[in-house]
Amino acid sequence: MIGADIVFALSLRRPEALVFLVLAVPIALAYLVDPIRRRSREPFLFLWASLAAPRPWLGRLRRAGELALLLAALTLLVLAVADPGGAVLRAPARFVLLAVVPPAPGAPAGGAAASVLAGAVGRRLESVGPTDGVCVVVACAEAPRVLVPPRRGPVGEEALAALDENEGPADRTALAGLVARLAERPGGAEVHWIDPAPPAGLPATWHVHAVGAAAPSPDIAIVLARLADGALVAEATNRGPLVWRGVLRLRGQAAVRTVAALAIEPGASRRIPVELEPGETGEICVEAAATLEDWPLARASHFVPPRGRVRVLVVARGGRAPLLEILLAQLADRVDPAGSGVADSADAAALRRLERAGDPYDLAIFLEPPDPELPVAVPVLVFGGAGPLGRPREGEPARAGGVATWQRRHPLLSWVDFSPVVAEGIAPVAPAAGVEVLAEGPVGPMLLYRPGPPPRAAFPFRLERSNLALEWAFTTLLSNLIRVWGGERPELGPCAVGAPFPVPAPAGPVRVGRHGEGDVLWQGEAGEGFPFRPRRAGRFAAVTGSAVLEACFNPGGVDPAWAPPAARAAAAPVAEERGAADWRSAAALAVWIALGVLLLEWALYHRGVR
Amino acid sequence: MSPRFALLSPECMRLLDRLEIAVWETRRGRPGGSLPSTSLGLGTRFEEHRRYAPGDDLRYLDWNALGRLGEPFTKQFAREEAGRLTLLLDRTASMASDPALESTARSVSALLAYVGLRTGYHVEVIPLPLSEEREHHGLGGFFGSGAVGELGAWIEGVEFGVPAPLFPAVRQAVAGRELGAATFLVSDLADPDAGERILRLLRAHRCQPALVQLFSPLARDPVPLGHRELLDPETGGTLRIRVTPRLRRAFLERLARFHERVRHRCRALGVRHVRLAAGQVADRAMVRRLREGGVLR
Repeated sequence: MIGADIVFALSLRRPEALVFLVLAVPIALAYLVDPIRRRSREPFLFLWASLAAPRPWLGRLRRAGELALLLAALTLLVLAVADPGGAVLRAPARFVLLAVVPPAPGAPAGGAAASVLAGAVGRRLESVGPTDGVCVVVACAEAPRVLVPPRRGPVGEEALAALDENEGPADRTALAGLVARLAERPGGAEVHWIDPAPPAGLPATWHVHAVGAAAPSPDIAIVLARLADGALVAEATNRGPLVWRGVLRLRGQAAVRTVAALAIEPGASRRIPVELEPGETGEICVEAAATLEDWPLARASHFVPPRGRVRVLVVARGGRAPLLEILLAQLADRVDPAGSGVADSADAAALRRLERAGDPYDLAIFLEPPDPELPVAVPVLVFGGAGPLGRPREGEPARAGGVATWQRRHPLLSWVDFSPVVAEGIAPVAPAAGVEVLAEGPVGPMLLYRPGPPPRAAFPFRLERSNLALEWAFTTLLSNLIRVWGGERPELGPCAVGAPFPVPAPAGPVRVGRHGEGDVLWQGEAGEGFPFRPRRAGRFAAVTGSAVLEACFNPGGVDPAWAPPAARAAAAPVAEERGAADWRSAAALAVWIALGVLLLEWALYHRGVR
Repeated sequence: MSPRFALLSPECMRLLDRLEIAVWETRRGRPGGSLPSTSLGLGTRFEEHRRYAPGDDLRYLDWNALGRLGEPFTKQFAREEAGRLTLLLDRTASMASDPALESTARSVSALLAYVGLRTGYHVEVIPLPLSEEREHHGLGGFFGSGAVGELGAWIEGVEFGVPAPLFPAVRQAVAGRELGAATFLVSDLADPDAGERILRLLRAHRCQPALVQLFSPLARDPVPLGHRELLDPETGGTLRIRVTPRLRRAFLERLARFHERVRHRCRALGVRHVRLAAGQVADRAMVRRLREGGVLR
């Protein structure tokens, strides 16, 4: 943070506890009245005087100290009960260097970019504390202009005036050299490079702000979340120093369309409801971009489940699949029996009903490979061959065998145990490009999978020529298929406070942290259990290496108490969660100990005078 | 039949009727021990006239009166050396710190005064410090059994709780005054030098001083613990102190040593010393204590 003043902000979660401060009045009165009660008539005063030297001034000071200690203890106790949100004492930045590169006068939208840049510089200057040193260096066509401020106000005006006076292309090399020399001062400097098109190779310790141009910016973040009532919202947060103006667009299986045009203040968030087309389902994506046609600056994805339970169509020869019907009946909580059915593989009219996803079926199971030309838009599970997921290996006969290995962490194979499964007539296939092999046997792939769209999975053997249907693995697999393909994301399940949490990322390294904060709480591969055990419910974000997926997996929907980090810092800066809690606990313990000591001392030495 | 005396019960007065003040030293320093004579005519101080009776010593016949009046009168003289009893009654504020101290001081004073009157002493009660009103009213003058009731009322009327130090009060009271052969100081003796100066002052008057020291049982349970402001009721001095259990124990040890010192100084100066606990009434036990202390016999 640039130019942070010394800030001490305190917020109370239970301010009504401050009422207990009125106890200070009777305590103070008791101490004022008490000396009268403590006066004793003593005929043998000369004997007492010979025992102890009188120290009246010290005695008075000690009483005042006792009263102060008691009042301080009361204050701390009340504060502990009031549950302060936390306090942050930010150290002042010693020296702030603003390196400003104004846009070239002839650049496209140069005037607008210059005004945006001027606003950025102005806000940076406003945020510099009164005790901080600040220096503004403006790149010009010739030598950079250095503005050392005696006071902040005039310097801001000078900097803005310098932007207007720029006549030619800025010399970034000269600017970088000068800033680097200025930064080599005792105590270091906090360098902010404000540039419409920042060059590569700037020192990593510098804060680079690409403002005033339509370059990809890390300052905008999007979170897609499904609320408790099922509504879908997109929340865009501006983490940058400037007002962000752009659009949110929805990209799904339907055409790309605009969600909203936004203008978000720095540090603020906007929450926009995402309206889907009737019956729209599957993976959707909301992107933030400067315009509807620009490259996305940020993106968030979400899987929209179909309405209600899954409707499954089983396609079998003769329209009979009693075993599958029994198995699907066991999944009554996920399968809609009224909307599901069994069709003959020769029934062209029935098969044409699979051309549209979700209308009327959400999932199709083919007990024998379908016609490759058959248009199918719903997720499909195929038995008896790979179909489009692979091609037969010529010259190799079908063989029998079991499943040797399988991807245990894949969502489709969660809790699936293929070890007892054996089959015969396994067709040797070579997987096509982009197809994953989820299970493999001695003769080759046993389960092929393509994420889609539409997702497909294929067993290269017939169901009736294996014991798969008799094993729990098949029921579990069907359950996973219906759950995942049907719209449920297992990673979006409930997350209790203190419980491990699965990370919703398909593959690759994942970083998990509190939403909107930079700290990484957990880092690992997707599919691993989430080892972080949060002390309270809240929003967490999982970010993949591609920076595309930023998911919010808050089990109860969007936390209504959540606020953007900048706003939260301004209202009640929250210290590190665990540290703040420990601080409160320690303070409360200290207060109780102090009160106990005072009460004990009172009971021993301050009893009433006879 | 004993005369009525509010401070003493009839039973106690009957007991006292058989006792007398023990005097073991005369004014001139000779060892004594006998009850001083109550008969008139043997003294040097003129007391009164009475009609001449056969057998009277003709040396005391008032010839002037006979010449002027024509009737014989005999001059009566009192033996003032052995016949005066002085009661110095401490009524300073320390004596008022415990009501029991005050009542015991009245009782023992009444007891001694009663015995004195019954045995022919001229009894004077001197409050310490002096009260102008009291001094004018009756200081120095009770004599005879008929004055018992009046003296008792006088003692009852003494007001305690005067904020004044004891030694200056004694010095003021005895200045220019001739004390009786039997002089009693009734006091708690809350004095920094354990009554040393007071006893020496009394001894300087060539009397037979006796100290009836009263002590309050409350002194054994001193001020409560904690930070206290102690106030000396006589001098008005204050002391801010933190009373701890250890300090209380030290104080009680000092108090015991103080009383021991008083007893030791009394013996060294030839002062009879009797200690009476506050709250003790004039009864057989008090009489026994006074007899054991050599005050009565």
